[in-house]
Amino acid sequence: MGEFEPKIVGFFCNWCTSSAADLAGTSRLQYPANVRPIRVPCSGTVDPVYLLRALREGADGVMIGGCHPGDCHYITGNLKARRRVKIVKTILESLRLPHERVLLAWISASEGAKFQRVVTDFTKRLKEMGPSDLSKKWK
Amino acid sequence: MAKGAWIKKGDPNKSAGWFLAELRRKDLVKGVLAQKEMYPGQGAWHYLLKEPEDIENTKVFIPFMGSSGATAVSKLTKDKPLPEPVAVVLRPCEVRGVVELTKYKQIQLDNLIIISFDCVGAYPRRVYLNNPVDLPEDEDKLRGSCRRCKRFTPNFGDITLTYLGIDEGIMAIPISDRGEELLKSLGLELVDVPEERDKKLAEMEDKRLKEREKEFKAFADEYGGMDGQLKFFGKCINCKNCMENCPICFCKECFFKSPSLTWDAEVYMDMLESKGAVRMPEDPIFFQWGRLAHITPSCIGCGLCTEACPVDIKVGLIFSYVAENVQGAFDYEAGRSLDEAPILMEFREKELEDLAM
Repeated sequence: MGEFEPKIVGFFCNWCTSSAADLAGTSRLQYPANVRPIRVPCSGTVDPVYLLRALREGADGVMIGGCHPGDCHYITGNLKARRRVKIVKTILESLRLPHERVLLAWISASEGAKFQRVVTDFTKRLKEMGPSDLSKKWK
Repeated sequence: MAKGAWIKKGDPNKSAGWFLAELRRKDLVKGVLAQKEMYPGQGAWHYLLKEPEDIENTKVFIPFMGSSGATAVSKLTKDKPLPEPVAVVLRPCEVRGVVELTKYKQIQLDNLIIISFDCVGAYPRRVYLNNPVDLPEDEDKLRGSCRRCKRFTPNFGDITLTYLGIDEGIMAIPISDRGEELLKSLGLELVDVPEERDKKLAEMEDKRLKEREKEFKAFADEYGGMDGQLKFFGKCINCKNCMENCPICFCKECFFKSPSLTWDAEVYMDMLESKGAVRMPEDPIFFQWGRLAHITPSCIGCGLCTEACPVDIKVGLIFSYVAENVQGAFDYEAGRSLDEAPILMEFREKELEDLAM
């Protein structure tokens, strides 16, 4: 067995973080291939159940990438995402589960370098945490 | 000092029944929604009544909570406001439900006269049905949600009824201008509420807050962490009764009933290949956590989910516990005020600034 490679499910806003991921690619900025990107119309469309389902189905971390507050294409979508992430984190924390596996990041379309940094840091942190037990079922 | 009107027509339930019937006899309301035991031994359910004789026999303080009065009020008023005044008798948790559902536009308050009471609590349905009684005299028998309830006095509505700290009958305390007018229209005189009531309420609050803290801590200690969660929800049969009975769960189309959670044979085979085991019916933890995410922002702690559970999972305990933290994180309390927007209906640019990277 090689080194543990965490699986990250990323929900990236169409208007910013998805473009930032492309920009990182075209700028040849290397970042870990652990993230599975899902392009969403807005970070505000990501219901908490998607985050929880990813964690239950075996993701070691989930991340939402949205526009900086004030920059949302739909005015307040990213603010909704922020409240939802807070709710999910509070639930996990209350149940003494690792809320650090949920990450919210504001990455605008021009921030290819930030995308690289955030994904690299998150992957590193998840590696340190080890495999997630949130997907544990009855066996 | 709070003012109220004496109603001394026998025991608390009879006095409250007389008061409600009197509202109807004087034609101040066209109907009364209250709990009534139509068939002895079958529990007291909500009925919409118009005959004063029927209203007189309702049992306001009965320690039985079969379904949510908030849901009943939503059925009454969701599509159209009531054309004429109707008095609805609700427990304080149901009043909180009405406040939340009003904010979600599932209830229209026009012509709704809300009468509530100082609620000692209800027994678990099964306990009550085995031994029906008129008043919750044995506090040890109360449902967990009632034993740890910290808002047992209504803070919204028109009139509060109480028998706490009162020797005979009940007292009707107006908590709105309309409530005061109604009492005056019945020719009732407002006098000081005995101090005993406040003393009794303070005693109850003290006891319940301690119970609340104790139970929440015990829950987190035993059922926190992933193994704890597997133990807590292992019995779940995915019947979704908790969801059906929840007054806050009002969506017509639900993600958990959608085709998103049904797969064809190939997907099941893939899951089998990658995971080695697939629980059927599907993963209840995902359902319960998902519902926590949807409901705790507005959970009113009524405990009907626990009542609805056929395999005795204390659903209401995990919901109240998580709800306290979730609502606390936004300085929100479900049912506290009509003026506070629910957590997911209000967004501020300047808040939670440390959350995002």
